[in-house]
Amino acid sequence: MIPKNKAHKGLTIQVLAGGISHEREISLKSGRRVADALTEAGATVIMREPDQDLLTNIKKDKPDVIWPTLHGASGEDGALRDILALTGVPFVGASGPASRLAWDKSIAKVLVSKAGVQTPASITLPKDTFKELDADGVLAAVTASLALPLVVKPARSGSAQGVTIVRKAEDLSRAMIDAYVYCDVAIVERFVEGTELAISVIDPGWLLCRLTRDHALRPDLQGSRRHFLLRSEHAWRSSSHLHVRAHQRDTPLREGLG
Amino acid sequence: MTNPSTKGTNFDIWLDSYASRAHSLSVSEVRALFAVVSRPEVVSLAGGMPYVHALPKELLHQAYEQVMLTRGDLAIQYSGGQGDLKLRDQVRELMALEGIKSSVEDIVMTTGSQHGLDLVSGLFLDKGDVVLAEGPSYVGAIGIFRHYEAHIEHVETDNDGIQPDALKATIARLKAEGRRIKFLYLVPNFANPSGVTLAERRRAKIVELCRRNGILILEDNPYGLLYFDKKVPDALRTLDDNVIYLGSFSKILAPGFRVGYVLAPPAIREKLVLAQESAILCPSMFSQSMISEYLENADWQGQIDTFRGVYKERRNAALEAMAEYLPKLSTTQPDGGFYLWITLPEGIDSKAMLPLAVKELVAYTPGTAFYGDGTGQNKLRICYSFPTPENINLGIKRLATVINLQTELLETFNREGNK
Repeated sequence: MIPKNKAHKGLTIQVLAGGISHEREISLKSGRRVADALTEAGATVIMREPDQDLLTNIKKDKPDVIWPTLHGASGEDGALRDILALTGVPFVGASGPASRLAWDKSIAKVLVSKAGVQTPASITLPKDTFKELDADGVLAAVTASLALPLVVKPARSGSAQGVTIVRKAEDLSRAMIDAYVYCDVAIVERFVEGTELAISVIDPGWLLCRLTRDHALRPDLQGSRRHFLLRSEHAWRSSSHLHVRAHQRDTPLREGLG
Repeated sequence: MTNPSTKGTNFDIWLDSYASRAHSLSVSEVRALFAVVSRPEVVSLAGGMPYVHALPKELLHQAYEQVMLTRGDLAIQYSGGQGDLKLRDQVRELMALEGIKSSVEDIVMTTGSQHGLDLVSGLFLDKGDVVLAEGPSYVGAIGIFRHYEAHIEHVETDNDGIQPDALKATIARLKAEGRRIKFLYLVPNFANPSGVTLAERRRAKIVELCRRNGILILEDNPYGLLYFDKKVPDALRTLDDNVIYLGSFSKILAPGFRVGYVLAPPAIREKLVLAQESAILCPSMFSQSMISEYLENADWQGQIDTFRGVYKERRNAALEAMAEYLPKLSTTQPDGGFYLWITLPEGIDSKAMLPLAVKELVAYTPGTAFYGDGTGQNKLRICYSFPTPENINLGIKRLATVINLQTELLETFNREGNK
């Protein structure tokens, strides 16, 4: 719990962080950052774990808003968001059904393709496929069809965990095993070389969100990825093209959209 | 000049300013997974935590009250860089239990023996120097040696500890290669992670080999007093005054005090004190006063007996669970300390398997953590000191599920997990 309380009255916000997932640590870090920023902005912040006391704590804390910063399963797969929706307390982020669709890469790929966004050619392979079929044969067919190098990912996981870039055919089975450790479904994609951009799209509604230059530069926040913030009202309504230099350090908010 | 690690995208604007040794600091890949062990649902067989619940807290209350009444102002003040004289005298008596004769003059109190190890490493290691160590060896020591950019050479180790013949051959090979061997680092009793104890007959051979080759020995002995049935052989330090001996209160009292000690030959000790003063001025006088008071007025030997009883019961629980759920796997059979060292079926990579274990709500430490050269994939360490016997059983049962699932997966791909 973060007991810090600003003198003037603000919202009571319950930040959910932690959980039992492979991404627990990153979730706790995100949660503390969010809590610090909200406290600084005058809110009363209560940090909680999504554990057996979740619903009791919501009743006890009576938050105006719940802010989940959970990573990994249950935090990102929509399950928790469905439960939060049941409580009637508004929460930050996507709805349960939307999360569910985005969380599973094999489904998300189909959806974004339908919307006209290209994604690398891929094959989705549940673990059980290999129990029934000849593993070597399946992998040889995958390699022949997609062509090396390949990327193997757990269909449901994040933070690049369980992801392997496969450059030699003989490394594929090991990569599959390492992905199945995280999830019973793996996807094998054609590898695309380039700069990774992580783009956060925030629908501001009543909330004004901005990513400052300082935030964009914080290595602990951003890892090695490029994070850019787009304000959705501009991004979608104006349907303008935004050209981003891959090694640009500042947010394109001002120059691109502001 | 651009550092190699600037390749790719990095937001750290100070990247080019770091000292070269800072690049040897790396985040363990399994660290993120370990975050889950703080959840009560997860049985952690990972961290090497002493069971401090077995230490009656009133003993510490009493020590605190006594310290504050009799020398409170001294306890919260700066103090000497070598450490409290009274405590050093008590440490001298403590070491006598393992046969060591010493002078208070040659004892330096440190912030845990970990800091002692860091100070000694800082005095001796230049970039590229060789440190000899058991295979496997203590992960915290490997981290320090890496930080000083030393090369860690593991010497073959079996159920009687490090093998003298292998040590001899390794020294000869490295010397022929023109490498500079600075010291041999050993945890001779109930080693972390293997749990094995260096056999008495090997001790003299190893000391003699090192003496002949001008190699300093660092004897790290945090677990020696935590034997279950039979006392451990006398310390290597009893065979040669040139051995640097590292001791700790973390396992026989509590690690939160962060108090350890180094017994070193006079010339080295003098430099150690200077190095300590320049690094931290002095070790915590508050912690030292508490421990000194505890040693003076509490039944600390009785407390060590209590710890032995607790850990023996847990070792038994761990071995029984291994026999019940994983009868085909080989494990070490420690007579003291905290750890079992387990060999997995060929092809299973314990680090790669860890996410599955976390999913099954059990955690362990993968074998690769205990080697400086990337080996140890099919090994893992179980620490039985902290969980209750019931949880140890549950944890090993879950571990068996994980290993069986992983074995099945490997068989599916029929590749013996080639990597």
